[in-house]
Amino acid sequence: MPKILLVEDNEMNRDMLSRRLTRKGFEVVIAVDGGQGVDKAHSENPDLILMDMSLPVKDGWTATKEIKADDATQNVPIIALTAHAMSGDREQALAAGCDDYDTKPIELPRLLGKIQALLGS
Amino acid sequence: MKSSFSEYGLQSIYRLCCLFLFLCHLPVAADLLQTSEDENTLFKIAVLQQQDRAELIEHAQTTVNYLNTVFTDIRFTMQVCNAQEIIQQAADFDFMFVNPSLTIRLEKQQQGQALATLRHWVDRLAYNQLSNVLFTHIRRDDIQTLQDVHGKLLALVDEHSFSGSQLSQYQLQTYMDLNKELHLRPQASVLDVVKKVQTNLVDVGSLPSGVLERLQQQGKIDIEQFKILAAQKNNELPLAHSGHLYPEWAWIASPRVSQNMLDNVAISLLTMARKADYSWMIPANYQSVHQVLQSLHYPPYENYGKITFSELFKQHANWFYFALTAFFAFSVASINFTYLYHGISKVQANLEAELKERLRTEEALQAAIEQAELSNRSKSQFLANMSHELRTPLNAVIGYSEMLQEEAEDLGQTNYLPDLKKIHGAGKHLLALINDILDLSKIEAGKMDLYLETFNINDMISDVVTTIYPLIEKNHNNLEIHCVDDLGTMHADLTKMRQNLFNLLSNASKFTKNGNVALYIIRETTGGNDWVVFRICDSGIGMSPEQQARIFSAFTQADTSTTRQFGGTGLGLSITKKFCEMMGGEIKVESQEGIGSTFVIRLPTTVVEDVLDDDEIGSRHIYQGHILIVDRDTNLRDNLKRTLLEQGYEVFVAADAKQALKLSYKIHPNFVILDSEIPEGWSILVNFKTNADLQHIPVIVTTAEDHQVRAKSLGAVAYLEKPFEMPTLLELLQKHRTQKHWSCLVIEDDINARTALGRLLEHAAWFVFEAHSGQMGLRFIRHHRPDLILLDLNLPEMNGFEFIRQLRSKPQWRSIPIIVITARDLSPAEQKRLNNEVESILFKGTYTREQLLDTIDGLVCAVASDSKDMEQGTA
Repeated sequence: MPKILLVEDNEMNRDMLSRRLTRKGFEVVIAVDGGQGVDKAHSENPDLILMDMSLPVKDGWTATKEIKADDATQNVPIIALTAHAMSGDREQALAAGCDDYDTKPIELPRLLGKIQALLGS
Repeated sequence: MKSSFSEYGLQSIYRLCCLFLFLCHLPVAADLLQTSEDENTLFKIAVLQQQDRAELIEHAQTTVNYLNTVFTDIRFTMQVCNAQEIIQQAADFDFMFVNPSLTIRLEKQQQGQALATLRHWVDRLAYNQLSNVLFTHIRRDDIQTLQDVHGKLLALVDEHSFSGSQLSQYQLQTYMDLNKELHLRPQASVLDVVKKVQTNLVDVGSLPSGVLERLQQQGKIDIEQFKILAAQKNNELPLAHSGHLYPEWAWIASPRVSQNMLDNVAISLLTMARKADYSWMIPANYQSVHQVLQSLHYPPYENYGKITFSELFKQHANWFYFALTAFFAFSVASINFTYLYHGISKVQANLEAELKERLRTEEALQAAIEQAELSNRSKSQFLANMSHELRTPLNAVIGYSEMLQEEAEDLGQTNYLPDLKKIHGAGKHLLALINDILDLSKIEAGKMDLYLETFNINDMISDVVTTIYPLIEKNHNNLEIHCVDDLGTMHADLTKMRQNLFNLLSNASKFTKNGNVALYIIRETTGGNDWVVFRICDSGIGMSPEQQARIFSAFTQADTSTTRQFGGTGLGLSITKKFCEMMGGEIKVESQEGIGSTFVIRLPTTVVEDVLDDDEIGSRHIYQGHILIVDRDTNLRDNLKRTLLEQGYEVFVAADAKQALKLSYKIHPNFVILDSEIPEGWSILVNFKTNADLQHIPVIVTTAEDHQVRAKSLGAVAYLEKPFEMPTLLELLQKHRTQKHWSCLVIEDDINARTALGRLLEHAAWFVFEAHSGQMGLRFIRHHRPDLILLDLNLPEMNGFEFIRQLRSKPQWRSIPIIVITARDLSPAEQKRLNNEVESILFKGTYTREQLLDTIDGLVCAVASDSKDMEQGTA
């Protein structure tokens, strides 16, 4: 069962996405801010990380950079999730080291496609 | 529209059933024919005479003979008529055999009904579609595409022929103005058309599809000598053709023919065996023909998208009433005049008091306006914040309802699904509404920014088309894209451009059912600017003139019932309009109720950002002069334009000799960059150098081949071989800069005074820019810092004193000299204030032309030394 680390500060979004992913057969672990996200990327050893970008304590870009700079975690694929659909967002997320990018509100089939593409490789 | 569709469908099915019955029970059908005797025993048939399809008259005769053998007690006679006669005497005929455009006209204006469509045979296969063929001599290398037909001579047989003329004109109008840039040369016969093209007496021929093949078969021409323009290859028509396929000629019944007779004739036609190359089939769908006629403004659509006479009359009637009322009021006023005269002395006493009162009111009003503007801005800010706050809980509503749907499905509790879908749908609609409000309030609060980038237009179109496709298919519409494959790039806000097209296309597909949506994209050069024009046409429900006037305002759709029937927020078009305006373009609509709508967006190929943020203004906006670029390569023009704009030049473009000369007389550029390889390129140079008004303008010639000697001998100051580097060009501009032309901004609300001042300065070789208010003046200075300002004090909105205060508050503008020209008496305090801020004050009516020029000359010396310091400083 693939393990996904979901880093998201909004409680409702977190609840929704984790329940839906669990039902689709994933094991989901939660982090509520960027700092926790980096810690759990180490301790939980996830197969993939879903990273919200506007996070308290440490934002998503910084957390991503730290995870990608660490030899132990740098191979874990990260998908960035942002609420804005501005043209620069995608480039910024990819520049921080994210492997892919999706916008909120989440469209589950689309996100699942991206998850599967990254886990398959 | 819709009911006629279904009627039409039902009748076709009915007729097919009749045919089936007829074939199964021939004796019964024979009975039917015999018992179906109408009181009328003579039926008249009109046959359209169209010179380029003269062979059809023979087929009409064959059909009439056949009908006479089938109906023993009835006689059919035939008469060959032109289109005009058929329309005028339609009531006298029982049946008509006509081309597709006349079919539409008879259906719409005479309640005619198509019984059968002509079918023609090529070898052993039958076809019921026709098209046009545009062709030229095989060795005409200058004519390769439809675009090259621009300005050429076109031979055809009959201007009213649908497949020989109308379809070709429809196809060509994307590329040219049919009235001015296409010259029709009618010929006596199809053979004459072909011969004229063969001998190069005309450039291009236009004929119905199939004519060339027939002449070849008869041994009259060799088809290999010709080149088919825009040749189409498809299995639906194995004949050379240039355009889309349209249905063949139709057999129309007049409304006076009884239903019984109608059915019998239809059955007879459909069962008629193939005679020569022709036979009959059930009526085809003539819907596509409507669009051709609408687009060309041909009957019955001659007034499509135009103001009708009655509307014009209505407008005049209003003026008439207005004039009448004014006259009446004037008469009453005259009668009262004597009374007023007595009151004048009293009024005079009150006048001063009132004047003071008015000044106070004006101040209060100004304050109120400022307050209103402030609160409008805070309203927009509030809306923007609220929309963000609303989106968060709404995302939860949408997400949880979507999730519950999945769960209900997994658990097999499908009875909850419809309700959950409704919650989800309503949530999404609300989200769309909030997103639109957010966009609109951002625009109103001045917080919507442009993200300008250079992108490929064809790629953007194919992107939008992919996104829109599901919506097009939802209402069973047909989407057509008309553009060339290499539209090149444009420099604009890609996201907003996509949103604009998506908005218009989704509207078109929403308000059209079982119809056509078409997108036309072309580039054009007018008024010294390059444009990209997007035209979105649909055959949907259309709008009345009143509805068209409303649709671009926020929160209004065509009418309130529209929202209930079609959904949507009613904000899409006002957002689209705002986006177009932000990018320096415009949007227009043409529509007719029940027929369809056409929206046209025109945007500059290179969008220039409107710098409104005061902090960004620096020395880069120092005006360097006008430049005219004459080149056919749109990409090069765009690149040059962007670079030169950054350098502080005002840039104009032209694509041909005519435009170039016309613009030069108007704007008197400081430089011309001329591609000598455009048609008549060298003669432009000669024109410039032999014309007293233009010969002082330095011309830089660019070519792909070495023509240095020729360029220099014809008077070019410099020569650049393509491809050239931008720094090389900029160096040349620096080197050949003639004496700087001084620029002056005239701010004056009275147009006569403004023009007079402008002309005076222009004679003294100044570049003159005009503004009619202080506000407009400030806006202008943000783009181009003038060398001098002539300022009137009594101005609307912002008076001269306020203008000076705002101008002098910016350090970089403090040194611009100002000459005040005023008609008012100045108080000592005002005089003192002005003395500190402006260079000179002249009183209207008291100064002479020479005095003004002397004052200016004196200032120029001071400015010249200043700007030299500045240039040395920046260098």
